[in-house]
Amino acid sequence: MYGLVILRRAAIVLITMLVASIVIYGALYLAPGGPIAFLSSGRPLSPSALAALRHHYHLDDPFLQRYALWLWGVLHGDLGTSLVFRQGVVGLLGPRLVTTAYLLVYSGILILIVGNALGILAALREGVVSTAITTTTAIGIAVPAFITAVVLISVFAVNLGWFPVTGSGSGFFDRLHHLTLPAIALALPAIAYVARLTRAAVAEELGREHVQAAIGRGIPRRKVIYRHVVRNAMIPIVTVSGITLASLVAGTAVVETAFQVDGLGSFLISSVTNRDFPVVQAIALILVTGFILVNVIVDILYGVLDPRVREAV
Amino acid sequence: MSVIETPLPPHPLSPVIRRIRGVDLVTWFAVVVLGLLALIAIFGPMLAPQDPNATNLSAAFQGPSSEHLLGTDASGRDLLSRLLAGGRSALLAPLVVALAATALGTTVAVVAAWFGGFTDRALARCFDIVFGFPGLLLAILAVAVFGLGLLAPVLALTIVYVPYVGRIVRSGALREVSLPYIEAAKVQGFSGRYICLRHLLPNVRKLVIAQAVLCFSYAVVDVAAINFLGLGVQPPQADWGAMVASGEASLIRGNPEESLYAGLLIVLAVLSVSLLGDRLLRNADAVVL
Repeated sequence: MYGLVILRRAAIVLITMLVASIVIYGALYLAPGGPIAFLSSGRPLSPSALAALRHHYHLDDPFLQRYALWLWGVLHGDLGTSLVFRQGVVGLLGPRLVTTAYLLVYSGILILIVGNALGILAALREGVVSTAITTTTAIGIAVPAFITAVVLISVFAVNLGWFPVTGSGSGFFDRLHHLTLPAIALALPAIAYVARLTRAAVAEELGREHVQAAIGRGIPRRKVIYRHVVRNAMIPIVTVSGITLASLVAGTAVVETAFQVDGLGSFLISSVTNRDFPVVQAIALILVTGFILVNVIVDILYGVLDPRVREAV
Repeated sequence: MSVIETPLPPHPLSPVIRRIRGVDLVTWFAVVVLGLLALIAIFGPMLAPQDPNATNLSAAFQGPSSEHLLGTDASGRDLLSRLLAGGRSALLAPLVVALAATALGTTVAVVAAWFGGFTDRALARCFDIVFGFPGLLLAILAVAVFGLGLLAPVLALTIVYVPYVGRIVRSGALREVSLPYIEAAKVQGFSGRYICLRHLLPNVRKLVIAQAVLCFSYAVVDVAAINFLGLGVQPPQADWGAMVASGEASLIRGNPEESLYAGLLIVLAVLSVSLLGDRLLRNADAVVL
């Protein structure tokens, strides 16, 4: 039964990806002046370069065929050639993909640990602690990542000098050191969001009858909270945390630009400014795919975690 | 001596007063801040004490003075004037996004709920597909294709936000459509368009307004991000998001004012709008599907 739901879900994902790829490919034709004028955008291109462009985008074929050929190439790892760097897009993206992956995993861990801890704390400690956490998280949600970035740079990099101002670093620990502030900036709104939802979920579980019954039977509070409250509250928490992680993907463009970290996101922005469309297309494809895939994984996890969802469908 | 108290006739505005008295402190804060920001967006450029784009390199990084109330930036431009001038693009562009997305989303949602069946399923699928796109990414792609400026991102964000409104309004409209009064109106022979406009739409208005306000808060963040990235408003025009970015170079040299003031205004805008939206949504008894 649940397999059927996953299949249907997979079909929607496939359609979404297909629509996304058509938008990303077709964008070329929406550009004022047509694809060749747009791709060269005033750069003098040699006839051989022009021919290579026509060949890569299959400009001499009908649209659907062109799109299919392009997609076939993309699926086989052919992302085209950068118009600015004059080399394969795949080679340009490799190291940057690693940097962005570091950043995403780092903030993901921060969100899960800090967000959930704050939420559980706020639900269990009524009074000052709870009020402090709910108020700060309400404000935290409203602070966009690039503003957090600027404040963090000012305080921790410029004034205190604890962290480097910009750059991505090399090697594992140097990278972590360089990416700490960017990861915090990227994670902060999501931490606030996850903390609020965790608080609500835990508070709701606390009020349930089985929890009251367990407390009434004299089971130590610590055990009740760990076994009955937090574990049941995990279901909505995992879902929401996952969706929040997916939303980070687009946020990397902003945070990497703010910290001048040389990752996929900042490369996307510089390629937009340099009008290097093959690179823009490739990064957009990768980011959209990442975003959609995380969403799907979370959706499937939801059913795995909660037997009721499986039975309901 | 007995005083005969004549009951005061009810003040004509008493329902309004009662409503206002019931409003909590947070909502008051949100409304007041929002009002002030709206004034800046509308009248700011006229109120600016100096030309926001006039540079004076010998007066760079000055502290607050009677001439420059908030000091100057790296090019010696008056910060207060730039902050006042920069509210328009920071607030009006998101307003356009929110209004357009609300109009489109509500129309599609009501049509879907009214016709039901295949139409409803098809439109709901469309919502799901568009919902699967990260908004900021589509806005960046739009800039890549159509060139720098706010027009392309505003269009892209509008499309992405349609399901934000559509999904919730659809769930509200579906609930209304199943109620007997709609059936009664149908039996009386009113046209579908009349019932939707006169009965259905007014009954989901709270949801529509709440979602529109929430959309506005998301749009403020996304438009500010686009301007921060340098893809929207172009220099020398002042804009809060762009000022956070242009202030970064000064901030690294120890002059954080430009970035911080502009950032604070954006945060205030987002905070007040989203608080208001949350409260409106709670007030609308939304069943979020």
